[in-house]
Amino acid sequence: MKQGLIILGVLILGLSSCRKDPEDPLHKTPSSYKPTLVDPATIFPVGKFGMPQLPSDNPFTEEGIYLGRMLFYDPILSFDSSISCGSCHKQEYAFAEPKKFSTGIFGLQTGRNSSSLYNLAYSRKFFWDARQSTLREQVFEPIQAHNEMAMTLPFLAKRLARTDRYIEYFDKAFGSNPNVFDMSKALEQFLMTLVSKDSRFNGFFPGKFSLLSDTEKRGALLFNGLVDFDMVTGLATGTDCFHCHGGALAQQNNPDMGGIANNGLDGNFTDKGYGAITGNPADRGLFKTPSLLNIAVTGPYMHDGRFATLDEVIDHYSDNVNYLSPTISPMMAAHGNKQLKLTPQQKADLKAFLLTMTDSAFLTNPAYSNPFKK
Amino acid sequence: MKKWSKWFWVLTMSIMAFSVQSCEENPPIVPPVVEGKTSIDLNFSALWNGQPLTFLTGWFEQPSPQKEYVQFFNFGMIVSKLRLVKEDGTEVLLGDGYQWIDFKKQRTKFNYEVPVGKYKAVRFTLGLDSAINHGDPNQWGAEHPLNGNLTGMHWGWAGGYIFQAIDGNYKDSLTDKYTKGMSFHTATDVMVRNFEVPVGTSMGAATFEVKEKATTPVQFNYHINRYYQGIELKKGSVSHSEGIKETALMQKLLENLKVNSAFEIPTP
Ligand code: HEC
Ligand code: HEC
Repeated sequence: MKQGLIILGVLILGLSSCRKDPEDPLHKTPSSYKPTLVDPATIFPVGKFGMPQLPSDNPFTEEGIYLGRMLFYDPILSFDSSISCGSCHKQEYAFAEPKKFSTGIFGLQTGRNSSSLYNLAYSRKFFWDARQSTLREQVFEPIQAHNEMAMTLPFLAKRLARTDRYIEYFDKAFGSNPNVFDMSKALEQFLMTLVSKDSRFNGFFPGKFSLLSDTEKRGALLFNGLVDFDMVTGLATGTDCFHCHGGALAQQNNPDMGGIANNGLDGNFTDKGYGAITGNPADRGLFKTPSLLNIAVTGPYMHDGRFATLDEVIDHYSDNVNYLSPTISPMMAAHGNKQLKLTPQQKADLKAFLLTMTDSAFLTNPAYSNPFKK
Repeated sequence: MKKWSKWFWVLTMSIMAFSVQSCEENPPIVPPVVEGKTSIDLNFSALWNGQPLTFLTGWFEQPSPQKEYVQFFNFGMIVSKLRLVKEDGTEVLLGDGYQWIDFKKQRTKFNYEVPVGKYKAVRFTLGLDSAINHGDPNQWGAEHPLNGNLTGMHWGWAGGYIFQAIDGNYKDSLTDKYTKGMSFHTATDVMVRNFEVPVGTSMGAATFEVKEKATTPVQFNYHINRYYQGIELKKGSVSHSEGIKETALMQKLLENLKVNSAFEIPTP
């Protein structure tokens, strides 16, 4: 009899372990789970940028993207419900912030300048020091950083699970109850849909030179020309920006080809950047090369926001490159370590060209705006 | 009692086994019995005087014409029409013939299905046909070797691909504190070069045999020091294949690859 009971018990245990669906805290019966798939070809301008490498386990869905968008703008992701991702990443500034450093929770400052966010699906490294390789992992950092959102993940999961809109949308997007894993996937989806493709630059790149004004044309030639000096006048005939900021994305995404580089800002590194991640002294002072699309609105510039204006940036590349910096990119140092010494006209030309990269349709696209503001 | 319990245990265990099995939502995918592909693992290695090339560590001595010291930052190449040559002279295209080899990223080993037989050489083009070179770099899939965003080996504006990118630093003497940049980018239609690399070493020609349902390793050595032979970096450490001086330097470097037999397929 006793044996019979044990057997019965074992049997029930065995059977109940099969009834996995309703008990699973994350994934419930897929009754209301019929997400609307979004074809990546409608998100990415394949003709202009090509198709990015996309994660295979996180297909775009309308519900997933919308969930990500709500999360991006929702201050409940921070400990005291005061800060959202959108606090430091503002659409009108191409999702950067016009401050040297951003202010997180309790008035604390970030250690670096806020990054602009667009065309991230084409990037393979994230943050100035390139420490993350996927957006999905990346999103956990600001949420937990003590000086950004200062949240713990278990607490956040509980908070999301108490909120009606998330109960509804996690179900619609993933067939799950609110949880931080699907949260990171929804944010990944939304972040990847931030595509900037309609600047004037992306209209004439690579071939339609006739659409440029004279000064823009001269700027384009400098930007895309290899460093050389005119034999007669001694003036620079190229500034070689394209090696690191080239192509339709205005950004080199191969880390070894200029995608992570030291552009000659410092000789001594207060912020070791990529070197602090790899531990290799040869990587000290290397930072992720940013895209120059929308560069007119993403100031202040560089990882520490040291330059307030584009003029200061151009002055740096023209006159103040630190060729003695121990890890300076070979692509910069290969030109005889000579300052370019651009004339005021050349500087103005270069700037005029950079200004063609602003995509105002992106900066005002309602699909990226705060969904809580009507 | 004893008998009864024994019988009951057997029944229970079988029910358990059954119920556990029925838990599986998706039946496990039974892998097909692996027949074994008939293939080669083509493995590229970059060597300096026979030693594996390292990146951003150490300095490699360049002996002639005057000692200089070289350090590498990156080293990638784009090849096309990559193919094997059979003993009877017929060719076998490897994949679609395009490949992006990146020594720093160690993207250097590629598996290709090929017919059984004896092979005597590898042929390839360093670079691309003009139409492809100036074609749309966005027409290729996200993982394709010609996807410009994947490889970064495309010169957006100037149009066209970089067929080989070697960047790094050099010094005149090891005690120099001051390093100088080195950047050799092979590009433009006039720099396209075809190569045939016979199997075997300088000791004599040979073949390798691909056997049925087995993967045959094929080693491809790139003796990069031979690329630098006779080059004086202080007279020119940059060539992006444009302008009179830089074009001449690049042509000399590419010639070095051939004249000095920089490529080698030692017999397995
Ligand atoms: C307190 C301000 C602040 C908040 C809040 C914040 N960020 Fe950031 N973000 C930054 C700063 C500063 C950087 C650059 C940090 C670095 O590189 O070390 C950055 C970098 C990034 C990057 C890297 C971009 C690139 O191209 O490398 C992404 C993506 C990003 N943030 C997304 C988010 C998301 C998603 C959230 C919300 C979950 C968020 N951020 C919240 C300030 C903030
Ligand atoms: C060797 C690669 C390289 C070259 C060449 C190069 N840059 Fe940069 N650029 C970088 C890197 C890396 C950064 C970020 C550096 C940092 O923050 O420490 C950067 C930052 C910038 C920024 C600021 C971006 C931002 O969002 O803060 C601008 C603007 C810029 N570069 C313009 C140019 C121009 C114009 C040229 C040509 C004169 C040029 N760059 C040449 C690598 C390069």
